[in-house]
Amino acid sequence: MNCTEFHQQLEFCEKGSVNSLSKAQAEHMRECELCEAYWQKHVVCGFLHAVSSVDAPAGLEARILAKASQKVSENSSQSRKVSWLAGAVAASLVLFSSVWLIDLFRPESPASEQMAQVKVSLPINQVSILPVMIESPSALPQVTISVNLGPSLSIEHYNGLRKLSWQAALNEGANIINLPVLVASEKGDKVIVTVESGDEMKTYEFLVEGQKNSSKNVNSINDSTI
Amino acid sequence: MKRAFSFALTPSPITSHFYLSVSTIISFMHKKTFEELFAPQIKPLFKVAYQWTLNSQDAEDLVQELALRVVDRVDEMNAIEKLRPWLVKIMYRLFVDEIRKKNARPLAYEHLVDEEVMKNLFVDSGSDPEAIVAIDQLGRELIANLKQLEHEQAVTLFLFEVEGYSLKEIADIQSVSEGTVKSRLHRGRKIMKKQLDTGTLLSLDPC
Repeated sequence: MNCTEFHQQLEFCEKGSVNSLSKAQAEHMRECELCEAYWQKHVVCGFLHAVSSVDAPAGLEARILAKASQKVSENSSQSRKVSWLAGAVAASLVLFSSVWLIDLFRPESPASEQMAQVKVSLPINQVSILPVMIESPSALPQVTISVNLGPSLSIEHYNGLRKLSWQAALNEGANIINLPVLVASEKGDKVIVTVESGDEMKTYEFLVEGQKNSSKNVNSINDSTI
Repeated sequence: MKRAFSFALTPSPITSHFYLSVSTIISFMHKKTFEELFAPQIKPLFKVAYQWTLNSQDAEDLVQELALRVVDRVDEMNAIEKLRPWLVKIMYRLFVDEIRKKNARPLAYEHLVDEEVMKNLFVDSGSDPEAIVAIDQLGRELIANLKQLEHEQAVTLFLFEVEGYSLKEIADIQSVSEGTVKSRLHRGRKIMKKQLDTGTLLSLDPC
């Protein structure tokens, strides 16, 4: 075996796999310091990749975003200002509410989930951004997303519009829809989110209730994680 | 780059005037929110944090601390072209601060769990007992070498070899010169190659 063959054979094998070394290669390395150094670099690099190949724990994104939004909510309560979306919208419009995580099309996930016990509180007669996070295990190039709001809820600026449906591409991992929602009464109403991809469909329901005191708009975000 | 759906919507027969709605949503959400900016970064940042801490809980804590630090810097994040190196730089400072608090040396790497790492190490070595022993031995040598690295060397190695950052980017992340980064890389590689020889590998199966 010569050096070119050694390199070619190593390149064909999986990075860092020690058993990819043939006897011929090993014998060649004994005679060739350059190839031995090359193999050492190959093994070290593969080892570093192997050490790094850890799966992120379940719910990582939701936990991290929830705590971050909780900090924002606490700051908002203290300062009576809503500043973390400053510049994007008028300050009076936005009060961050919660993060909803939908695990999409996972095998263990049921086709429909009613989350009557899951509530989010938004201030009455004030537009709030309701982020809905859809966690997709893979990229889905074409899905249909539908959002249905109960009579007490509406999308800002659209004269009582309560039913939206559109097509979108989902990325692998977190995808976020920010809905500018207006709550008309303290009782609030249901929000139904449906995601369709090919023959698969998932529907989620949760409750949005109105809150008179907007400064106390801190929700139990962990409980709202699906 | 992940964006809110509102940037990729098409009108549906259900609501013929929804296109107008979408337009307004786009203008309404002209700048990205913290969630839109940070959510796609969480898993890659966790991987980097894990490389530094070699512990899932510590890695999550580090990313969480980072999120809390930058959550009120949305305007700044919107203006940054390459967000991840900027976040990694801040996370590195947090990591170094944490190390200083603990005053531990050789820092995070003493907490390395051999078994956990060995599970991820290398591909199936087949049924040849000699090959299994040889690979196991090599893996333990590599882990022992890794434990000898200073944390600056380990961070540099991971950023360069695994994450693909340039010398310049690593220098910026670690707030040192490119010469220092080169030196750390050289020393780190040298330590990692210690005891690596082919003597035990001659019995391995061909790929």
